[in-house]
Amino acid sequence: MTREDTEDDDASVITRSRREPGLFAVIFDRHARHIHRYLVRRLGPAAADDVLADTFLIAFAKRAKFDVARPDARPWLYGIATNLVSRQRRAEVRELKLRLAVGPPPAEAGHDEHVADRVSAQALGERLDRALAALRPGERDVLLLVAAEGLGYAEVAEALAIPVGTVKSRLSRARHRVRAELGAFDLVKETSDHG
Amino acid sequence: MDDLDLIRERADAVGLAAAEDLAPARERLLAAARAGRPRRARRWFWTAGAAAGLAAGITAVVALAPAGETGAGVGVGVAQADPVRVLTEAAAAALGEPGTPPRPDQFLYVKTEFPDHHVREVWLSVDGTRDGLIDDTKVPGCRDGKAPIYGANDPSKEGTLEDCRPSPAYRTDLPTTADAMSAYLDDHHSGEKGDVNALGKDVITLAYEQALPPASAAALFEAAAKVPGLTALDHVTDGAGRPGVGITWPVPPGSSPRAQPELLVFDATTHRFLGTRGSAVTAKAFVDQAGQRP
Repeated sequence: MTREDTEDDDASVITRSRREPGLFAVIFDRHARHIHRYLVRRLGPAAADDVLADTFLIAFAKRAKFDVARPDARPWLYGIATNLVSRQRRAEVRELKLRLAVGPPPAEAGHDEHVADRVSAQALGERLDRALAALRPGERDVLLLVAAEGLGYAEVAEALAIPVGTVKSRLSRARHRVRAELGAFDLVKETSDHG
Repeated sequence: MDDLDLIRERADAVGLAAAEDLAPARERLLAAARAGRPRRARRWFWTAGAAAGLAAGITAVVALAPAGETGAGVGVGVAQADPVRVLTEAAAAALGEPGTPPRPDQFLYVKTEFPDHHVREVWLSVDGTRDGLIDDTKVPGCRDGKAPIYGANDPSKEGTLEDCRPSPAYRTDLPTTADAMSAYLDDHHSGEKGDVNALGKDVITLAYEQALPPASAAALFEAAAKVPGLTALDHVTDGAGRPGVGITWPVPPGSSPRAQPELLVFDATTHRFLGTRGSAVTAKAFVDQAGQRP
């Protein structure tokens, strides 16, 4: 979540954008690719572009309400995006089930896993998707923001506007359920070359 | 490796998009900033890629159904009407169009609007012998069996002639009765024989960037009405959001679960062909010059 640029932080850009709306493009340029990737992971590529645009339109409309005590806008954007994902619950579950049917997107080139490893990784991935699809939406939000997006508990709390304690309890419930679903696999043994 | 590692690894299969892929979303943000108020998308769009070339059909679209829609992936009620009635009305509407044939030296102008404001304009030679345009790309006409090569990879070939057969935009060669049109579609099918999905695309190809005399246009929709397995859908919208009634058909067996059949959209009142789910024909006319707008 760190940025290399030493320009003004998000809070001051957003503050200035209240008078100069076009400046909000800076916020887009800083965060859009990560928010887009999050949306592709959750809704698939077909839906992600539109929801990304809506995320930033909503953020732009709400920029006057942004808490300028927070230098980094990304958790706030994750929160708006997650809200929009939650309106697409069925699409998300469909995407997860679709992946079961068509397999995961091809992994980065450069892995040279053995076929057997790939097959079992595939089976494991299918289990995981099935487990994710079965989670309660709020639990899935927390689990994916932490595990896939790398947000800390405080950032997830900020994004979803829930107490940190709720983040922890949702995460632990979600992990418990996912592990129960994956139970048949010995996760440690399934470790792939790079994991 | 635990459950969190597994999720991370699975997520890592999705990389970051290139900044230019996000340009449409950025542009919408800037437009909202200029307008001073954001405009949310009223509906979900997905684009239909338009194949380049004279016989451009609209390629099939693979997309998830918009949220809040039914598992059928179209999200609209099945029409009160049956598809046969919709297509028969479309045929009648086609018969009622003014049937003044164009001059051979004219061009068929077709403007298609896609979601996200992408516009495609074509000027196709009525008799196929004159150079036309697809957007700003020259399309060679075929004169006396020879057509100039434009846009060749090898610059030395630019403008040299190659063998060709004319592709007239105005189709006087087509049958004018439903039965004969069915036979024609059978003989000129793009997919496997009996493939309803391919047939649907063939119908779209003829109805889209080509012009048919009224009797042939009517025969086309009447022939389409004979295809088994069609469904009519009320309250669909074309690629520009114009409401209409739709005709669709089952996806071929063995398709990807994402596959969506094409949807032909007709105006609910005038029964004119409007476009498809991801495209909207917003102008169609004959003009005297390539590049001229009606």
